[in-house]
Amino acid sequence: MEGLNILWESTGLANFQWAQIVMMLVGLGLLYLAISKKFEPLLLLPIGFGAVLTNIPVAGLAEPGGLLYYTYQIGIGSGIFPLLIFMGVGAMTDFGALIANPKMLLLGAAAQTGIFATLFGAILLNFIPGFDFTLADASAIAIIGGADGPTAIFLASKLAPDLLGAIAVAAYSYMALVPIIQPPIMKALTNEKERKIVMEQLRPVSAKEKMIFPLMVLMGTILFLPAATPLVGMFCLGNLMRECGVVDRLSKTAQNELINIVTIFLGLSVGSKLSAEEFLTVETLGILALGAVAFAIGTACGVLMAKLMSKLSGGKINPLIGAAGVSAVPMAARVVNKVGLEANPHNFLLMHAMGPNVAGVLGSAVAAGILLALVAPPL
Amino acid sequence: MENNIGSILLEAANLLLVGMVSVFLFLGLLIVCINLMSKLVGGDAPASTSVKTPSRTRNVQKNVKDDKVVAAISAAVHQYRQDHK
Repeated sequence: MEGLNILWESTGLANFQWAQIVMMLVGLGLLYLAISKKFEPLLLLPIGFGAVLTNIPVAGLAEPGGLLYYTYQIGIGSGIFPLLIFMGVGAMTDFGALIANPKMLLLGAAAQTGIFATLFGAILLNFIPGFDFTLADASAIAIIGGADGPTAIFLASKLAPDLLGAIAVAAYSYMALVPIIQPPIMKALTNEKERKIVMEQLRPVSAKEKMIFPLMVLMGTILFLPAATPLVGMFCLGNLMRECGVVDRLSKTAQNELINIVTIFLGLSVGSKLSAEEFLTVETLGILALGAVAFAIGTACGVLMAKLMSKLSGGKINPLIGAAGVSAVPMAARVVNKVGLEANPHNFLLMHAMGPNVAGVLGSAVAAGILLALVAPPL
Repeated sequence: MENNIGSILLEAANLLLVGMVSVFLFLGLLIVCINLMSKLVGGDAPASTSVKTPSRTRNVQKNVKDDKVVAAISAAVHQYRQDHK
């Protein structure tokens, strides 16, 4: 009889706490979104599964000695996984559209307003009882507005590790929701005539220019913003491997095998942060709300900046492309293309939107660097 | 507490200003650099069209050679088909 009792004590049934069940349901919800709705499945699937594994009673997968504990410490606690992903993204990014039309960098900069405005908003939330965000917390939350998963995880792991789960989930969910969040904002801020503007074809860019570009960006970062060099440096390494043409094997590995392997472990490690005591708080709700606001402000500022540039250039720029200034490559550019086609079925804006889109990646990495340089991490 | 939030708010507003200015400055600097680089190196793109002019004669020669090769191959094919009827 006693043996049976001991056996019962070691089952999941006897040890479940209600919070763990709720978190498992959250994990299953993420799995549902990934599989049925195809929301960023590459990340939400491992994150969702990681959340389920973490909340298994007795097994302690996310406690010292458990698999997820180590993958988190090695990969995210150290900041290595997001950087490896960034190298892969660099190897996948073609800067041709941006080099052909460098003014697009201004759109990538304007869309970062979302990040800094949200930082302000996060501190404002402190007036509501139940919220207690420090400046470091607020910065980590605000970077969701950059719509760049790896950057958000990198910054959160440095500035607010305890909020990492909620921030990562918010960042990736909103990236998946780009096609739903952006179009209404884009349409509200532009008129039919502006959406119909057809843009000039971009000039061809030489291989030499594409090769020098990553080195130039790296030099600029080294000189003016060393805090951003982990992100920008890995990004430029990937991009140089892509463009130099002599290490195709490395470039292919960075953008396929390596990024896939890292994505699996990154997802699982982020999932391990979805434990009941860290996720089931009012602050998580605040983070989700702030993330949406950050995203909306970023989109709006990008479009407004593009509108201004359109006016100054005498109507040569379609203001829609400003929305691609939030990174979310290439989803944001595709959304721009789609909204443009709705206004004028012969107007393909995809290539023009890729410029601000890749500028947005650089912009959010730079913004992350600035936040890292100015905001002290918690002790 | 209220006072404390006030001071953090001020700091956040400061960050908003400094952050946006530096993002714009940095990316603006990059625009200048890209334009400079395009002037220095990017001359390639229009240059490639001007290179085409002298190479045209070579292309003509190549075409003549191609024609001969095509003629030889079609003759061989014809022969082969004749033999294997």
